[in-house]
Amino acid sequence: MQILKSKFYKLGLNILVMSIACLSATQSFAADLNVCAGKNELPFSNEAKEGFENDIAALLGKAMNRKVNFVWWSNAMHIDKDLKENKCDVLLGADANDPRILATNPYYKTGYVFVTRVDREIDIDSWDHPYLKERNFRIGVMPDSPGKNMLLQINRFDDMFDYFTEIQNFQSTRNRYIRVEPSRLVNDVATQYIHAAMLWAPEAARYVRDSKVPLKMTLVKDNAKKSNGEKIPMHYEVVMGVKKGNESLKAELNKVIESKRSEIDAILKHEGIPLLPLN
Amino acid sequence: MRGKTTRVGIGAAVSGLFILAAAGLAHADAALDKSLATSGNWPVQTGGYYSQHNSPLSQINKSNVKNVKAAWSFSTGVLNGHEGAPLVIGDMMYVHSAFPNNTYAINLNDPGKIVWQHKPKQDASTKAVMCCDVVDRGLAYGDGSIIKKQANGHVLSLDAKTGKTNWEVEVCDPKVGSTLTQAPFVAKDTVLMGCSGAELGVRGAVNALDLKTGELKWRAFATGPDDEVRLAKDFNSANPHYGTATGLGTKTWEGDAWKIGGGTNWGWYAYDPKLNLFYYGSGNPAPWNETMRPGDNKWTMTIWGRDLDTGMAKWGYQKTPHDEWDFAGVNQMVLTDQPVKGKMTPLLSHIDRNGILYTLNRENGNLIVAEKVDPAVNVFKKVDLKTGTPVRDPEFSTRMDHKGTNICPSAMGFHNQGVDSYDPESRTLYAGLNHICMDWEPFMLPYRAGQFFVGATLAMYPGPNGPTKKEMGQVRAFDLTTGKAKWTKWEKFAAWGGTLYTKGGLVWYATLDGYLKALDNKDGKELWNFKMPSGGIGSPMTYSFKGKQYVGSMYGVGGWPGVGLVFDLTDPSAGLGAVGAFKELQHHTQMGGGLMVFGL
Repeated sequence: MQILKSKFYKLGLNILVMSIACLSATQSFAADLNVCAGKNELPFSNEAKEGFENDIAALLGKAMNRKVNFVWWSNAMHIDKDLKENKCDVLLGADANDPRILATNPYYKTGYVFVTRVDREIDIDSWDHPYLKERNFRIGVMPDSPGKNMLLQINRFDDMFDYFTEIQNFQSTRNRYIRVEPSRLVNDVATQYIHAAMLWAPEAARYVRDSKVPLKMTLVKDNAKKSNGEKIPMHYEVVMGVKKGNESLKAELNKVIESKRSEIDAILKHEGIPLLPLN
Repeated sequence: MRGKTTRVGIGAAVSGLFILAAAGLAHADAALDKSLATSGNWPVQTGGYYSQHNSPLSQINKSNVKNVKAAWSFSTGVLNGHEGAPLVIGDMMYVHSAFPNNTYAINLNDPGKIVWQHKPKQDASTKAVMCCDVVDRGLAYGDGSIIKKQANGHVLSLDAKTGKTNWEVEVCDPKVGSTLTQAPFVAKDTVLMGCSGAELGVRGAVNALDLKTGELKWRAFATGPDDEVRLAKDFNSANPHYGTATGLGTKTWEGDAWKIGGGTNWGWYAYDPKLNLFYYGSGNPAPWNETMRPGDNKWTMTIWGRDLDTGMAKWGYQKTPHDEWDFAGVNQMVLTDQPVKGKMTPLLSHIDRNGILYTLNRENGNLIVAEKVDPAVNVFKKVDLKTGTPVRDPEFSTRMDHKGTNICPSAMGFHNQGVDSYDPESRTLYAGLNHICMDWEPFMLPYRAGQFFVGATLAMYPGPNGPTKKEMGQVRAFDLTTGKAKWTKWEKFAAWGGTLYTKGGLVWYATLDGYLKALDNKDGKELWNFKMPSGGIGSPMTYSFKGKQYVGSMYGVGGWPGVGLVFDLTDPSAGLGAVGAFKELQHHTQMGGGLMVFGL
């Protein structure tokens, strides 16, 4: 079965530049859509299909009339590996600038958010805010995220170093994927262990939504800069990734992204993700 | 006095003792000194205060070494890397193991029976924060006690006769990634101890504990303000270009990065009783990503000369300012007294991971020799003896924006934690060296929305100079006053644990693939070998009991793959081309843990 599938896949590759007629011919054969997804990456995806990317994958399958199979990865460092090896066809939630993949059009855009407790009335919305420069203002960010770069810029990284080693379970992130549960940072805000967390909105949304202690998310203004003037983006477009060269699948997915926009938006809104307009 | 000890050609430990006696120091630890003075004992990991790792025993010599056979063996019941060596004091032997750091006392009259054992219960989570295998570099002896450390940061004094705990103190906190792997070092009434964990931003320090009570006497940090680094007022007065007590421990860092700056010391100490100075090296700076810590990052990667009683530094020489390679500067410091330009000079020699053999005047830190241990070394073109600074070759740097090939040494260094030995008669150091180079390709992989993985893909392979180009190690004899090599014995795998010199003219060492070998000290010719149950990464030792000389060696491979793990070298999916040496090693040896004892 596997051999058969990959044969069809190869066939698809060979003829993809030839004509749309051929393309649709292979489509009707290649029934399954193999989606590369994180095995334990909530809130994005998990094996129990509890993540919102699991839902978006299901939506894709429905729209394309293809059965969805998940091909799980557990090391986020090599999210492109299964794509390259033709084990899966499409990767959700990819960074538009990832040079290892062929990117579709963006299917949503959002940003990093400051997560705080409502009752503490911490109204920060940009990296310019004076609170962030206070030594005793504790802020959590994910390893090697834009937040880490900004903390280095404002000379706050060292103050929070202990916290980072703690959430990384005392493992160095060098050459290694260390899974940090985003829920942990949200929870640390709720319990007042830290004042704020800056997280990628999709990472935080459902935990903020479900928190017993009222929390709020504030989109971070996209004006963060390094001291040399270089921009550190806070807003990002999110794409699907296919194997380089697989223009046909990219085109097909672009069509679905266009036609199913409102349904995709509905999944994201249910998750609680604040959406920015796509250009 | 010095000339006399050299002439009779006895070991470092003993010559150290003579100087001690001559100086008439009242506070020396009598029990340790008595043991050191008794030829045939082995009470210090490095062979003695001078860290020359040699022995005056000569019953086993070049002509009869071929008859050496296994006498007895002992399993520690623990796998993983077994560094260091057992201690022998009188008729007792003390054996350590890798995590959980068991200690066994064995009566040499009946090696078949364990007199007492100390098997600590330690939280397994401690293992998780140890960067490079769960090794233990051994025990120390002083005041009738065995001083041991546990990975979980505890240092203990056990009664050498009964194993009863005299005291137990916590020196490092594994909860912040700080663990213990180093062998404690005893001199006078002081136990010296340093924590591991630079990888996790632990700020390095040497701790001085009271031998009798375990109480902290002082602590000297590797980074930070001068008072916390404990720089004497006249620090580096003989060599102000090395840097003086002017706040360089904070000024050579951006912001407060020195607080998480690493520089931990987990290697070996040496002590000069006459100068009352002790010597050691501080390790690599943190975090590993050098772009995050612009500056020289003082005083990481530094050779220190500190007063034993106060911890105040008389001099410090930074070998690798702003390290890019993880060339942790903690290797052994060998103290010798040799003529330099016709004048007998107190020397300190050190073979660094960076592939440079340094010889300095240990009284004031004057740099005398800085030579490449192998012509393959290319990260530095040379070391400028006037300024003390290495001249880097940018082609072989490991910056995050630079792809480098054929970088020598690799991150493992041309010399690692092994303990080398010195022959005072021929004035020769026998060094166990690595010969491994690497390709370095930095990466920054986007993951989601601006989140990245950063690191480097490393490929390690044998260096270029072995006779078949496949050799990854060598034992090389050096003149320490010139840095010139006298002979070389190539090894397929490294002599990772260093060498032992015995006065019978023999150089002993264990190899990663598990051979214990004896070489002729004149030409490096192999005279004897024995294949042990598992690879050796410890340093051999020798002792005599009831008139018979024995050689002991720990076995238990590890450490090495641990070093590989730092770079994720064992993850095949990472496509890092796991170090060829490590892959090949599996076909030669497997894990183990124990001690082999040999005799005629």
